[in-house]
Amino acid sequence: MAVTTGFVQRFTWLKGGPTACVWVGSAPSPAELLYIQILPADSASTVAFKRAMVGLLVKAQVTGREVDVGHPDGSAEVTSVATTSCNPNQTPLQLDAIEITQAVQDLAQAVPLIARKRTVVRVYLSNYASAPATVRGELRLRRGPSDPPLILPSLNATVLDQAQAGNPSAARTDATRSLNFVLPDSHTGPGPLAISIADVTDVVSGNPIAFGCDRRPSVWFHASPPLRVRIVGFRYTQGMPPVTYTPTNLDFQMLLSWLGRAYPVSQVLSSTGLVDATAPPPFGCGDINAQLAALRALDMSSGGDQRTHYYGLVSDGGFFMRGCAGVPYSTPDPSAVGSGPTGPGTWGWDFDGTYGDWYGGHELGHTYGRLHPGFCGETPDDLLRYPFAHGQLANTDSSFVGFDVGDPVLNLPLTALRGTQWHDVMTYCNYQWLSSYTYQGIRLRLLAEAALPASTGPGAPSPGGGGRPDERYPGPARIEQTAAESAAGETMISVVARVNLTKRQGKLQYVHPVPGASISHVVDESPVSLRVVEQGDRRSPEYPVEVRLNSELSPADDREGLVDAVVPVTGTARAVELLIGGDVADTFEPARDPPAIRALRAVGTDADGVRMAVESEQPIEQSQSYAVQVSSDGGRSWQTIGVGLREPTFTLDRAHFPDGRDIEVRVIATNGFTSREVRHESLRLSS
Amino acid sequence: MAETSGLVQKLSVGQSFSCAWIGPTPTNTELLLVTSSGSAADAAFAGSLVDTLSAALTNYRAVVAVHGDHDAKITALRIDPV
Repeated sequence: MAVTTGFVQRFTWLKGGPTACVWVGSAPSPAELLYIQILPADSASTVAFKRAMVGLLVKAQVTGREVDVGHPDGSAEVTSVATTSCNPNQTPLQLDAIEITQAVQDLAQAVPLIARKRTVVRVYLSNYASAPATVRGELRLRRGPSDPPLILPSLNATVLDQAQAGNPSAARTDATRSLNFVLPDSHTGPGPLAISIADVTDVVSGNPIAFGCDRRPSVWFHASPPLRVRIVGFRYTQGMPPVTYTPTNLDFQMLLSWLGRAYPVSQVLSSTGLVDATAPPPFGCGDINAQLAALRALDMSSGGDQRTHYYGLVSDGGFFMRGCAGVPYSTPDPSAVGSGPTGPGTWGWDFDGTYGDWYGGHELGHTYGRLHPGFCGETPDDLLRYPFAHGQLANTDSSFVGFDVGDPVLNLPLTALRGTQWHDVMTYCNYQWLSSYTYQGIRLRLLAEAALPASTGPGAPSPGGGGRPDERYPGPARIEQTAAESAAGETMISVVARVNLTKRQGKLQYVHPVPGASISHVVDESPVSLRVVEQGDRRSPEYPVEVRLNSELSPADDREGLVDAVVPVTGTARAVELLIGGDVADTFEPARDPPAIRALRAVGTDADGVRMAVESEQPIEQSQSYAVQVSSDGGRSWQTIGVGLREPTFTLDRAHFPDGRDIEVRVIATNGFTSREVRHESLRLSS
Repeated sequence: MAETSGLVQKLSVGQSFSCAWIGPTPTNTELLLVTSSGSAADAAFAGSLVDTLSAALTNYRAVVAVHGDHDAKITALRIDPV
């Protein structure tokens, strides 16, 4: 009887016979061809036995496990299959497991890998010899059987102690107890990757050490859409003497880094901005989300990528603003916005200098349809039932472990996040990271959002070419100094309102023309609707609109939420009504046409930026306001940095514009239904 | 004969036949079938075919399915080396 030992390189299951052909060897070529054939005369038990052998060979192939395949001398017909025995007495150094992780993973590699995302291979070794050993290693990487292998050295050395041998679960909770390899970008593109250990070396002697229980996993990297996000910092002033509070550059950097590390994306297409909060402090997240929704509507009207999520960042220097977001649970809708606090607080466990990163990850998670699983004091509203106890990443340390792949730019190290200590980001618990459940949920939502059109405005290119938020499509053509109306005589207006369904109260907060925008999807049933009042008190049909309830409501809270809709008005419209339960809760009546703007001037500079002043024919009236947009690409795209402004001055913050690049600024004066604008050419905000 | 290759994006096992969606992405797949005529050998082939498709699906391993040019019934399945 002969035994062929090796890895299943190729497997074919043919109907004729049926016959399984397996090629077994240490490499794809040469490998020994063996077979299993089911014969018509085989008894039921023989068929079951042969099927079991086929099953084990397939499992061994897809998991990269070595097998001993028995067959008669001189025959290739398989008579037995076994995984190879791992014998520490023969070879004291044993390979326990290889884990390929990007944010959260188990040893079966159950979490799909995202192409081009920073990836760490963790190799777990056990040393059964009495003397401890410090080892390094090298991986052999191949993307196909004919590819020349790439040899990749480990980032670190690890100390292997007999007392810790045979316990990979413990080693997984400590990044220093595995040999870690960061895969190069060239080997994380879409498609397969074969991983094997090229060698393990004793650090002291420099000699290679033989190891047993070899495994050679193959994994697949899945193409995945980017995360598109605009982070807007909100500036506010309070106290006597007045103190102005803004999120720090670290707050922005750490949030964007965290999203790239924790979310199932390889790329975060981001832009940042800083705006003045229009609500007086201490405002709530509902105020900020309303302003953010109005900003977003203007950006989208100017050709923004409709798939971009917006998040508001508020410094806790003056007061703590609890965060909240809209939750588009059943259908993808990137227009849902969220906001939350940031600051240096540690919450007892987060010592990287800001907590706005994971807090933002929670609120943005809501905008990707994620609900609260119901742990550590939150309302359990995730009806799909969270799979792990206490909101943890795992029920045991032998299953899922979180892993922060670090950020060299921000000097953040590789960190293992124990699955029974860390909790899902959608809980209210400490030690927050993404569980496999939330990771997969956001991945599926990102795929669904990627299928949405990038732009809906007239004149926009066909879907699919939206590109980066900072390389947006040109907006629809505007005629300066004229009312912004569509060719059909209708003007699209963005209406943002806050509502309290419990008290049947509501407030129309921002009304602004958004030429080129599409009318909002009319929902079948809603307690809230909008209605346009024409001259002579003639009223349009009601537009039932979606209410996005605040994500953080408890059962005892009033049902508060946000309405963010686009409706058409004609030139004869004189008001918009907000109806709740059929009753008018608020009415917006535009003032006279907005004043013509004569000029926009830079009136001073300070350490933060440039102070700008608007000169108009007369001061704006009640129900009139300014919006400010900037372009850093010669007017090809515009981003809103102010909306609902009542004062004719504003500050352009230097930190959020590319250094040395000319920017353009335009100010839009509006009465809600019509607008006038002036553009200031080429302003440079070099530091 | 034709070959369809890619990841097993979805697998549906039924009493009389099973369906496998195979292709490079979840939105770019070909629907192929696993059926059995009822003989013991054919049932064994179909059963192991489903087991193999299942292992490939859960481990994100690409397969090559062989079927008729105008026929979705899988007659052979291969897992090639990476």
